[in-house]
Amino acid sequence: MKKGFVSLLLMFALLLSLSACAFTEARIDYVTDAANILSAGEKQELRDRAEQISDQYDFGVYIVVVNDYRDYVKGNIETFAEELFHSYGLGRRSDEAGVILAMSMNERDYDIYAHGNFGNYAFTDYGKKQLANNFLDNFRRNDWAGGFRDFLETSAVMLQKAEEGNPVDTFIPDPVERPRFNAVKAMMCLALGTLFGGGAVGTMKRSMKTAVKQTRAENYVGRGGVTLRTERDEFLNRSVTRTRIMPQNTGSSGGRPGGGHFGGTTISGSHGGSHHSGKF
Amino acid sequence: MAEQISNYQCPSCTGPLRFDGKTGRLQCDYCGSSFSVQEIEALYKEKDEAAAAAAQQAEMEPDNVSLEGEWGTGSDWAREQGLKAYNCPSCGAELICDATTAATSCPYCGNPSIVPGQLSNMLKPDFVIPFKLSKEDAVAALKKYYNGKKLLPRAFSNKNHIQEVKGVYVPFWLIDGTAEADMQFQGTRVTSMPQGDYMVTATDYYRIRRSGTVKFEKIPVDASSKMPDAHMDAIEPFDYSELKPFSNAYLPGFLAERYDMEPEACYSRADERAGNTAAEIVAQTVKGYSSVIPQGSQIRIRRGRVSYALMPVWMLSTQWNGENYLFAMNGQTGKLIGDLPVSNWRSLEWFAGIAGGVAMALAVLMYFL
Repeated sequence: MKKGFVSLLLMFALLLSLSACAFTEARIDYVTDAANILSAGEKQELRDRAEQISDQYDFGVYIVVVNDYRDYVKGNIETFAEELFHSYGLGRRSDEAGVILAMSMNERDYDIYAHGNFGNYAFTDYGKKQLANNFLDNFRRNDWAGGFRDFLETSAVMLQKAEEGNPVDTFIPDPVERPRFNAVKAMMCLALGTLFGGGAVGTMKRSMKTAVKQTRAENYVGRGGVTLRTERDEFLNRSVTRTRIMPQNTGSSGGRPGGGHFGGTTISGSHGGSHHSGKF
Repeated sequence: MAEQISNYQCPSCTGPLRFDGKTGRLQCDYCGSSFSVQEIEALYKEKDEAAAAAAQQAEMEPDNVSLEGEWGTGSDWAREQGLKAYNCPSCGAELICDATTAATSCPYCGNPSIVPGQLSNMLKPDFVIPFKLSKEDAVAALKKYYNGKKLLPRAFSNKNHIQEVKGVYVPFWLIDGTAEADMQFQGTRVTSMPQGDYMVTATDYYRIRRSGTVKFEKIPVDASSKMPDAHMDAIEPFDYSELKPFSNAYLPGFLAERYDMEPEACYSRADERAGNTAAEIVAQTVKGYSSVIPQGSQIRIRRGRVSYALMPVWMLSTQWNGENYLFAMNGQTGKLIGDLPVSNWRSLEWFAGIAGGVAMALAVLMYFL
């Protein structure tokens, strides 16, 4: 009865804060896909992994995808992520430690919002940027599940590092152990080698044939022998194309680098969290 | 009857004279005397004129010319083959030459001989560029040419011997003219600037027209059907500042040919070169565009004066694996050209070496980066 009452209160609070349109999800799961970009199987797989990481580090790791964040809040994607995180009471431990990746498909906005002492410690500005780099390449290919897997695995590595007292602040290892050299790279090397070898031997062969007919006579142009009679450039028409700029990730706003208690993390917003947002 | 052929003898010892490219004088190898071209010209003017007249007479009355050799058939055969027979003024031996030969040497006594009739009157060249480089220079240049040719079969440079080295004055037409080029292009100018979240790219299209004239002076085209065109083209350019009025005195010691291709047969080669170059020069005036695409062109050639000149060329030939290899060196500038054989095995070695090396280097880079 008490649990139900608390849920009702949370729902009410969220409805108040998400002013424009109510968030239709009854609750925020570890992975919430309101834009339907994931298959059921992918959703389940990602939820299981997010829950596993959250349990392992006692730290909430969430993914929320909506069609347009403006349907829920007035403000920007950072406001959306922050409101979502706190309205639904996400996070673990007493200080609501957690990280959320909020994505809005309409304008391809994303925000990583980390909260709590451990959240801000583990997810430094540099760390969040690296984290974003790891999933943005997938998103740019519309490989949503792949990008979310990278987000979860990289988050796990960052949490592990933070637990060891060495948060990712200057360098992030590739969370997935990949072989340093593989068959594709070997083929590339061979192909380029063949190209260079063929080109070089072709050039050498050409140098063996020097008896060639002349097709030019520039050596025989008389002094002052060039007279230009007509020089006309006539404008015909103009065509204009507009291409969407894929901006570099923008750092979190407000505060100063190294602000708060944690080196390399800029604290911003009213709840003491930190952001990293941009477009994918 | 005057001889149709003459040789220049040393006024001091009557030994044969030869033109020496290094000194630019006629040299006697017997007594060491040397004479300027002008001195020898003055000395032999009358003799050359008489020889030229005799040649002209022989051309007009071929049947009256006594060409019978000891066996009575050699000269008849020569005439049937389109060759010409002369008597060496030094030893009296019969010289069988091509109909276009203007200078040669007697195979019996070795004396340089000139056939003035081949290069006189209407056939007299306007200019000559004298040889500056010697036979030894040509042989050294060929050996140097082999150096650094990584695909040359080793046996070719090690075992092969130059079979023949000939210094030849090759007849060239030097053709003046003007090329008029009228060309149309389509050009684009592209500008980009950010506007909000978008990059706006504007492409302006232009119709471009250029026309102009390019004057050419003395485009050389070899006028001998015996000389391979590619070889003669490839040894260009000659330094025209050393063009001299023609004189037979530059010929002793070298072979010389008179032209056997009329200018009309050579115009197309000069026209093509002039047209290509004019189009290139006019096209280069189109500037300031992001891209330029040719849309059409009209080239008109107006030919001007045609001069006749003899140019110095060293021809070197060699044989290897049953094939002849011919090289030509510009006797004035030393530029040597010629096609060389390619060793398939060495090609494979180099290909494997370079391809393997590059692949390995890339593999190491990819592994560590």
